[in-house]
Amino acid sequence: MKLSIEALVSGYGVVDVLHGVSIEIAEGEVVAVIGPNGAGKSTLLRTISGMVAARSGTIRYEGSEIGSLTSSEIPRLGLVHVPEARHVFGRLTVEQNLVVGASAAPAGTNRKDALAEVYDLFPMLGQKARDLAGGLSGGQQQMLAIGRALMARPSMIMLDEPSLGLAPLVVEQMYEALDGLRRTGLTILLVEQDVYMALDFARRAYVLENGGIALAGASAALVNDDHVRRSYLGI
Amino acid sequence: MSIELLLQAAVSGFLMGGIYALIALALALAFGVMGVLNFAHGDLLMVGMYGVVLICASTSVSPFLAGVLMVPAMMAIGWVVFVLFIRPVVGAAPLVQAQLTIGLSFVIQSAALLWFGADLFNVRTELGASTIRLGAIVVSMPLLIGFVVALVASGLLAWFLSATVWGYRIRATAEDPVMAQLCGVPVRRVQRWVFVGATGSLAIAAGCLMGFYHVTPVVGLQFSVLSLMIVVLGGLGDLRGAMVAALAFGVAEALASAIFNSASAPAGLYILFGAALLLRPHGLLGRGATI
Repeated sequence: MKLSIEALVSGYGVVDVLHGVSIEIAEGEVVAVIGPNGAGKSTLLRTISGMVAARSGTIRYEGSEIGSLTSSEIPRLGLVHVPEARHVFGRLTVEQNLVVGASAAPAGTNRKDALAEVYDLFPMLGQKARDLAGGLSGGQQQMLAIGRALMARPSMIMLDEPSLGLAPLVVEQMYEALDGLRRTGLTILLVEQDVYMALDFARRAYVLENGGIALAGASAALVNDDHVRRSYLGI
Repeated sequence: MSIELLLQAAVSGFLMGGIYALIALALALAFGVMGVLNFAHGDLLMVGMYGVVLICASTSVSPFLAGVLMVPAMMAIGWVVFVLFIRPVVGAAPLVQAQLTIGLSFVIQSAALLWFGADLFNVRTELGASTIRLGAIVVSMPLLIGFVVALVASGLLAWFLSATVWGYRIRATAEDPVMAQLCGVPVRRVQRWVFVGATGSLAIAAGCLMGFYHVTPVVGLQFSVLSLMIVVLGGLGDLRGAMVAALAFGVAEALASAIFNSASAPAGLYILFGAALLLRPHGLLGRGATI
């Protein structure tokens, strides 16, 4: 297993948000987590990447326990997190953002090659390399956030609501790029409020409700599931 | 009041402002990266100034060179101060941070008073009273050299931040430490080194000042207040704004002291500070954080 999580409990302050979540993702798999707002989808990703400390349970990445590592150590293992709302460094240029993203790259990585690959995936970033990231549109910032994460040369990426607030055409462009990434064998864990999009992109999905896994299965099966259709697809 | 006299004051003030810029830049950088407004900043500068006095008294080097020689010692002091006092209050409430750094300021002041007494120290140099003439304006040589040295140091700092990978990481940390951490930037290490580096750069500023200035145990307070005002005026966290504000402060201070008298110069500064805050609450360049 690339990532396996067992009975994970986590939260903020006195409140537990996740009450014993278990998920598994195989090498090269694309898995989505869907669910209503407040179900704990973002908290799940934040706990995996070390931004929030797990209260109990285990998080194993490539076989080793990573629950006690900090959020700057975990990306060095090749597991990167693109958080919700993008968080690009607005006062840095596009290229400087990407270079900061390479801080977690393995030693000996050629930064120029990594940049060239990101510019190849998102040509817009290459055209705007010297522009301040704060001046980019929402869609461009999302692509920058993904590009910045890829600079760490990851083998697994976690995306939190990449389509949030973006125009449909931009969402389509972005998923085309993500499709290219999937074909390179990158393992992807996707949290998405656009359930159609998520089930279309991922082969398998978990439905997270009230901090626990309510349902799991192949995307094709979930699309036809009564509960999913009623609650998330509005059919 | 002649035009020449005002021009003379403005030029001297501008040169002094260049040294203020280096002092304020160090404060702005440390504040930007760890969010702690250090009220003992001027007192650390004062420590550097005494260090320069000691070096100049026992050797024959110029105060400017003595400042450079003091850099490693000041970095070591910065390291100790960071580990003991600053790191524990990173992320704490602003009032806690202020109490701690103001307390630190008093401790440093009292220690200097015990050690050196209340006497005023300065460094005698051959350059001391020498001047150069630029048309009608007479410029003090030590002030001019101090300005150039401070400008070079500020320029190096600006270059480091804008053109090196660690510079990008420092700016990323200042803007969004949580995200910087997720990018693999060792934020705690960045914070420590920024504080160490900022304290080290105070040694350079101390050398620039001791070419023509004097040191007593209380000069620190004056420079703390001054650099805090400059950083706020420039827009919290905006380094370029701090540069501009420092030069403006130098000129305003010199003009106020030429037009009225030197005792009223600080009043001129506070009026400028208040007016600027009312008109531009996000800093002179309008890019800083809300106060």
